[in-house]
Amino acid sequence: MGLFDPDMSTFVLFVNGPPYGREDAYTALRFAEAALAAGHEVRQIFFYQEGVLNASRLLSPAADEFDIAAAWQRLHHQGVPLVSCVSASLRRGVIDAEAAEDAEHDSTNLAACFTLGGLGEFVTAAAEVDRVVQFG
Amino acid sequence: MTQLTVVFRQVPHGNASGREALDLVLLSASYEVDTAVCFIDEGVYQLVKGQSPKIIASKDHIATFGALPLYEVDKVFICEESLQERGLSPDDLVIKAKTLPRVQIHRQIQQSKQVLTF
Amino acid sequence: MTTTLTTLTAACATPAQLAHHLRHLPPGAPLLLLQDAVVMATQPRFETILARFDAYLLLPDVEARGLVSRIQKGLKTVDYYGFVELTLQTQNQIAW
Repeated sequence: MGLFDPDMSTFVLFVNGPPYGREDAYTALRFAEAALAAGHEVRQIFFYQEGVLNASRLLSPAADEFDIAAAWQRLHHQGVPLVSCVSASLRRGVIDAEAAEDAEHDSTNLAACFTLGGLGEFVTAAAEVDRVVQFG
Repeated sequence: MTQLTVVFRQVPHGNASGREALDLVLLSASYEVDTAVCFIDEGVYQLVKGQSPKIIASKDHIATFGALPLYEVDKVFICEESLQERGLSPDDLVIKAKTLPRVQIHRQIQQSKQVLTF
Repeated sequence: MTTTLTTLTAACATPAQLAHHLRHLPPGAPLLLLQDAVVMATQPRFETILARFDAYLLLPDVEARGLVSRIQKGLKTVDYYGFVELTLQTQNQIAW
């Protein structure tokens, strides 16, 4: 950090596909991993439309099937912020403590490595990066 | 150079792409990002007058297209051929906006720093 | 002059449909087929239309679908690193 690398580019990924049932989220995941491995920065992965379902803490694939939640968690631990659009998430039943309180739900289901954020978070990040890539 | 172009390509209400695309457009403009909007192919149906989304419990985001000028989104482009192919004319639409040939719509898209399709 | 990377994720049923879908795209435009769209690049009937563009296939998607031996001649394959590179060689991406 701090050294200007002319070969390093910055990305924001825009993910509209769900965690299971469509390939878009998986493609985004592999793209992000490749970008990081190639020395680029993934400034943010923003989840919108059905993509917000990736932010659920309750994803429970069979033991012999791909665990996309764990993969997103690995990306998070590599420093990639995972932001799920708050309004799109609430409409689709992905909620955090604050939203649960407002809606008087008795539980929450936001995965620990995701945050709920407004579209403004995407817009701000997108304005700063070299490329925005859309999946789904 | 336009910073963000949002492309509406789908019929409204069968999915929420139009509603969620419009939310993004208005938010982007409110953050003073130079934002353009294109309606192409089935996306022109987003703008048809006289819709009643409530009948199918869909949010009426159509009325909100009228807010584009208030948010200073003045780059709004509607594809001419897309209207013609569907027997629609500019008079059938809820907004007054520039109609452009498809080729010019795509030029606008190509020259935008970022593009999102819905 | 900016170049756009057009990405396709769905298969068209016929070459005519693909031609229609891409009728706006200038000759030589960069085109990446991924996910289900890769099947088009394994069929001779799509060869003419795909040859108009600078077409790439995402190889893992072809391998997943058991179609590597059927990739039409002259089509370039990339992995996810190549996909990243393509987005940097072009000015913007459109998911079409």
